[in-house]
Amino acid sequence: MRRYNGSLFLLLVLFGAAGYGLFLLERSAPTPSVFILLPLLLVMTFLNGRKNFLLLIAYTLGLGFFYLILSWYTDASNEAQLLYIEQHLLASLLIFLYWLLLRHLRSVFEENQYLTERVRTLEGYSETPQLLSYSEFLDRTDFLMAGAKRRNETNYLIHLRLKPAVLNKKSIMQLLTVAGLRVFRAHYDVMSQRNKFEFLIFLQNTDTAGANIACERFLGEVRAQMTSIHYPFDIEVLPVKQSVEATVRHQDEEVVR
Amino acid sequence: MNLILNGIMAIFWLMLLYYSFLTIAGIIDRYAKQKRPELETYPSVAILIPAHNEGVVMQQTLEAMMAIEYPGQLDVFLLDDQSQDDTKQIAREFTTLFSRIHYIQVPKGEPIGKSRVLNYGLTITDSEYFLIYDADNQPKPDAVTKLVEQAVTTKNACGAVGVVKTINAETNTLTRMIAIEFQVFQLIMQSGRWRAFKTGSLAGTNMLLKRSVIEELGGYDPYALAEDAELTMRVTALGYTLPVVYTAETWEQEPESMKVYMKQRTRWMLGNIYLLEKAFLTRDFWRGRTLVHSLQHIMTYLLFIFLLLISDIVLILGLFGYAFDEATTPLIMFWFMTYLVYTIQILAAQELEKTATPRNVLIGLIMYFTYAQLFVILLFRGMFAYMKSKIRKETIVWDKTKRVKIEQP
Repeated sequence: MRRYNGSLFLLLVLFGAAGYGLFLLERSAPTPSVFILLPLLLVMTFLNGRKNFLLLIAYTLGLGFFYLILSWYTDASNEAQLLYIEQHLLASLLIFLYWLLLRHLRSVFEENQYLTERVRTLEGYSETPQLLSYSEFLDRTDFLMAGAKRRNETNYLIHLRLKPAVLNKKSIMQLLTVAGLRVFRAHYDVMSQRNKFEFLIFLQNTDTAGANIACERFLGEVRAQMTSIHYPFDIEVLPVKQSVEATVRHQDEEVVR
Repeated sequence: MNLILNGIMAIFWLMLLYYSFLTIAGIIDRYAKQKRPELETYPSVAILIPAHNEGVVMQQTLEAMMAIEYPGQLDVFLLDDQSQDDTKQIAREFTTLFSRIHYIQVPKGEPIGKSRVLNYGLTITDSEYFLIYDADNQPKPDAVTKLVEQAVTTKNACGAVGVVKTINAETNTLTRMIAIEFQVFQLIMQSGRWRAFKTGSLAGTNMLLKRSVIEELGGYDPYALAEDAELTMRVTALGYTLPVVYTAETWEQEPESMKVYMKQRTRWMLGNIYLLEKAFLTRDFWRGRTLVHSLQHIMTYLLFIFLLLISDIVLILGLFGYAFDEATTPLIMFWFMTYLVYTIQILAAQELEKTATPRNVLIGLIMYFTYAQLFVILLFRGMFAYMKSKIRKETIVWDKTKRVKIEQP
């Protein structure tokens, strides 16, 4: 961040200095270069990097030819030609610095966007903090299942489905997440939200009794945070035989029947 | 005096405008997306590698040739022109293992040089297309496929030209400057000409040509030292086009010492003076798209250097107090514009190639005062050698560029 701030500051200072220098020069002998420069800077703000670079080159060359014609037409003295060169260099420098500035800002923005994406992918968590995304959840449970199969262990799934009449789904999901994290995350179990209505907790290396105890502990944690005596969701403890996905799908079919 | 000066300045004007126009066209062309067409069947290709004492680089070159991926028939012919070093032994190690590589001993003959070796290579191969690589080249695995795809699908194309990159650009300031010069030539000149006039020019390497076309032309001119430029003129005069494929890349090494550089470039200059002479005597070289190449040649190897010399004289006289106050032409502005156009081309090429590091930019800013000035010396060296050979009625002898061993990254 400090690096970005440093280069941004430097670019702004140089841009300001070049602008002030051009102002001083043009104040004594104004040329159309300034009148073209201002709308050009405005246009560049809205164009992409490639078009801006093309504009930068076209402007620098075009301005050079303009001063060349002006020198020829006015039969400019050596001093006048040197002044034109100074004006050209400052105007070109100004637009070059502006191009660099835009490029710098865009690169920071793009890098930020890219890093956000990367963080999201790497962490594999959904928008709810610390909760696994559903695809990551499936990947991880498949991996755990493969190990469990080798060791002849059994796994269970706690499946919560919000009741249709529930209004504040988002808050309830938040509550379930916090409760689940308190009870299970310390034991390396995994949780996810399948959609806005379903919440899943994968319990590894346990039996029916163990899964029920875990479920009760989870419900106890939830109940402690609720005022209602009725849970706003249906809860089931399901053995996972093939995969979590197959178990959940089978449960969906049961609900439809 | 003023009349002469104004005449010179008129030429100056044209050159500045032309190069500025090419710069803009080149950037537009480079930014345009190049479609990659796919072919149902890929024609047969023979890669010809002329070699003379290339033991230092041969192994890396042949390894790169083995790494080329091409969906059609591809054969690599190493054309050994009387090597005295271990070129043959290295090549034999490859030919005994890989069916793609063929070692060919080129018989002794005159005139010595690349053109004669290539003509010999063409007689012993029968592929539909042939591709030239210099003996130090390491093309990217997809280079051949990309060249063929463009050559086959571009209207009226007789081949295609790829891009040459400098493998030892970081070695010293000279190699860095050569790499920058190559970038300008390929990324600005080549692409600008292709965008504006739909014509490309052959490079000495990484160039693909249809066999039927070279047969129609009667092969390479064995006396041409700049055989690529000479062939470009004849191919274009026949109405063919040469698409430029920026993504078909090869890496080659450039001279690391001034002595080797001057020798190589004097040969190139001699080749270009020979071509200028030929151009002045050949009416076909001044028609249609060939005119673009002829004018480019005159501008690059004659006018630019001549004007560079004039601007140096003006600058030196100015430093000694002669102010040219009575001149009716704005000499200082002209000098500034020459520097500006030259440097803008370099900076544009660096930006396009993503090589605009602070050091490279700095080198780009001083190249007009350093690297470009070498061309004045080269023109004089070339002219002198050319005149000498004419007076003595001697054939100019091909001089091979000395290679160095470069460790792979």
